[in-house]
Amino acid sequence: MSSSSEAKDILRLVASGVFKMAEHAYGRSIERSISRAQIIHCARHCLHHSWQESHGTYLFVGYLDSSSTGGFSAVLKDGVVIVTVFRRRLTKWEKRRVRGRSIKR
Amino acid sequence: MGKETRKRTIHKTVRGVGNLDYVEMRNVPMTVDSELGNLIDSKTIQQIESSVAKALIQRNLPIRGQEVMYLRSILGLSQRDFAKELGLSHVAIFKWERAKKKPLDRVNEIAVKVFISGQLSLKITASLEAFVCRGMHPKRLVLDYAETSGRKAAA
Repeated sequence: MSSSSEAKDILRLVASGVFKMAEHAYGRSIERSISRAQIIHCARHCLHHSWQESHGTYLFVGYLDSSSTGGFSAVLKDGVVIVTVFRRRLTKWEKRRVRGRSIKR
Repeated sequence: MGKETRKRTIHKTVRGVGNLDYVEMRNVPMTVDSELGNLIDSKTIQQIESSVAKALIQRNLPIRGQEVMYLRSILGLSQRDFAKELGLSHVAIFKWERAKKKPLDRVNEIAVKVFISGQLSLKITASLEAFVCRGMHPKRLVLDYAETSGRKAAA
């Protein structure tokens, strides 16, 4: 399976609400006030994803709700396991990409 | 053939659910993974989120900024969308949430509780008068996952 299709599988599963969270990730989501609904929204409105060689996980960045942005990192292991979640602003090139693609939020 | 991994379920207590430092959920089921540690299923998370929200409304606890933020986030709404649903400006929601420990006005408290009840399909049996909390906020709110999920199954 190519890495791109694996990432798409992760997005599809998370978007449909079928995933698990590592205890660490759940702790971070509590700390950062990121709910399950926001993670699902992020998967549905993902701006880009990348493979993190150093961690062995996929990183997904998108919209947590219609205004705030953030993302999560996940691996595919007997289903999707979310390793961590975070909030962050979009970088310049991500914003340019949003404008270019005119993504519907 | 891949090596077979045995899955074990454990039960743990989660404190500070939804960044509400006084909420504690006991007996949360987690599966133990040899590589990734303890894993929580998304359905379990959904159950925890909705049972805390139900407890906040049905136990008639005062709604403050931090509770508004929690209730809004479990519905996946932005401040703007939440304000739209309540017929308010997003600045009002921002101000509520900024004053984390300040209770809402009675009218706003009723509006938030009724809206959340509708979203979570909760039955409102009390009168609007009884819906407003006049008591102090509890120091601890302890919930049991087994009880809340059992109640759901029975309903």
